[in-house]
Amino acid sequence: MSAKSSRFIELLSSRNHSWVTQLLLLLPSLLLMGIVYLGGLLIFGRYSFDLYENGTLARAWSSHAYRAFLTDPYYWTLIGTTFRIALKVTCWSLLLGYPLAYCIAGLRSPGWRQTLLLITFLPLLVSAVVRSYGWLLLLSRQGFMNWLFIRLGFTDSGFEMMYNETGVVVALVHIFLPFMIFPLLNVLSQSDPYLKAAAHDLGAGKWRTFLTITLPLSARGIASGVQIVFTLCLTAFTTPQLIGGGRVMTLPVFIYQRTLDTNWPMAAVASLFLFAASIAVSLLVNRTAEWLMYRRTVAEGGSR
Amino acid sequence: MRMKAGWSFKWLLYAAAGLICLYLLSPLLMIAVTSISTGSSSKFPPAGLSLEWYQKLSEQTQFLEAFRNSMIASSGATLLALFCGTLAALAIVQYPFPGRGLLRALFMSPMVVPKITLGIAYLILFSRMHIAGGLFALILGEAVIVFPFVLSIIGGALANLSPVHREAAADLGASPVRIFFTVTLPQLRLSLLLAGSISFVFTFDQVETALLILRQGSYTLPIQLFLYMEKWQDPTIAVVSVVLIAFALALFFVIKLVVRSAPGVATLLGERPKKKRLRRPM
Repeated sequence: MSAKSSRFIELLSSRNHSWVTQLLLLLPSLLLMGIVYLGGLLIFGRYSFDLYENGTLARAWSSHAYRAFLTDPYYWTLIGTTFRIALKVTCWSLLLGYPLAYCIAGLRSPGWRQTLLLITFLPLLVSAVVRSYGWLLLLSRQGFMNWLFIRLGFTDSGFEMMYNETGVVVALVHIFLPFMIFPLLNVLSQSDPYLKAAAHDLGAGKWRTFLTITLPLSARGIASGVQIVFTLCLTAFTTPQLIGGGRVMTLPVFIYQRTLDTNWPMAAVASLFLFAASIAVSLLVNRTAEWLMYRRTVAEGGSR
Repeated sequence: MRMKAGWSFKWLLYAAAGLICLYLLSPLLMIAVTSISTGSSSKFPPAGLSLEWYQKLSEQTQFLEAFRNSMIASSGATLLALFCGTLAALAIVQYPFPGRGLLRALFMSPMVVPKITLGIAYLILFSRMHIAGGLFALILGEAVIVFPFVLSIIGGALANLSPVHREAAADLGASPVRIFFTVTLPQLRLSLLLAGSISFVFTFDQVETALLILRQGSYTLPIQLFLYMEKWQDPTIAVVSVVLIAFALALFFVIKLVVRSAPGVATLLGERPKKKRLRRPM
């Protein structure tokens, strides 16, 4: 029997009370999502119109915070830093994630496969605070990396890797690399091995097979990986705050600081911007990937 | 037959994978080394090795208390989200009504709202409701964050259930409530377990919301670590971190063991990359 007719039977069996049943089933979620989620966001949105002057908050309907945010060049450098870090982290994650995912997908020994999977999964199970601490130990002035660099003779006094963008990018790539590897592993392990074998039989070398067969086939995985990592990076707070030490100002760090000064209007406006930006990026990546794949299909269809 | 070009490609790939694994493991290894070093600063190379910081950990009661708070908050939020999410999924999947697509979109939307935005929204809302600072507020706030995970996992499982059993039960005269408890719920067991563990792990690590809502005395473990790290950088953090990493590893192997003993979980976990993709905005 089809799902439709079964629902019909269910509707019949509770004919008189069907809307009551639904309402009762939905009531806990409606209360939770309505009060805590929507209520929270609406009150918060309302604060974006208030006035904040000389450390005090005044009730108003003013577009002051919006105007300040969009016209002051300070905020544009802030937005620039946030996007630049997100872009760098996404590129590095793709560059490091792809070979690892490709390697795991191609491994035939289950033991090695599981070991590599564990190494990929493990950082995800460990708190971002703990992982940032690990990077702090590695990157600080007296940390391991500087010890190594001095030993190797790259520098006499050590590099400054903490409290700047380099450190934040290195640590963020570590935090978000698993999110790049998952979707890549998904498409790479699902792709048809016969296609690669066919390319090989036709005389294509490994590199050529990779560039013409494997890479285009994994486009969907790349798109979702890029989308996840980029949006997570835009909104990342813990690592930029801890590794940046307040000196690398990204939007989430800025929002946190404005909240501490009770400058809620500015925090609200910056939050709304961050929200809009992450949605815009997701849509953009999705559309670009769809467009690229569409073009490919058309090109293939045309050449046949 | 392999060609020479094939070999160089393969070894290049293995070398790259090895280096990337080293990169993934290096912070964790560094924490392990620091945790057994002597002296109060986290400097490399360490002056000497000892277990003194592990002994001192027992004096740092705030971490144990924070761990307890984390357990309470995560379990509370997970249970609340499972309760609300299962009922909502049932309403949406089994009882079609106009506007359910819209409702589903609303319920899934916390996934795309930046956590820091939600954190500040909670701070303002809960201060107004005079419950900010405590674990109860955190449970409410985190339940909202993991609600989409629960709704999509349970909703997916419900939609995949064969209606035959429910129809049979209905034909035999069982009431919808009885059908739910005797037929539907047992079939959802694995999905509930999966949704519950994802929610638990996710809420356990929440920084943005907890940092803004909580006050001293109700700090969760990540917050306690975060604040301790901002002030001091002695190996105490490394010791707590090692304990947490060991906890994560133990969890991983327990899950592996469960997967091996129950084939149903294996298929569920086999879909893991798909679950991750749910983070995508709707």
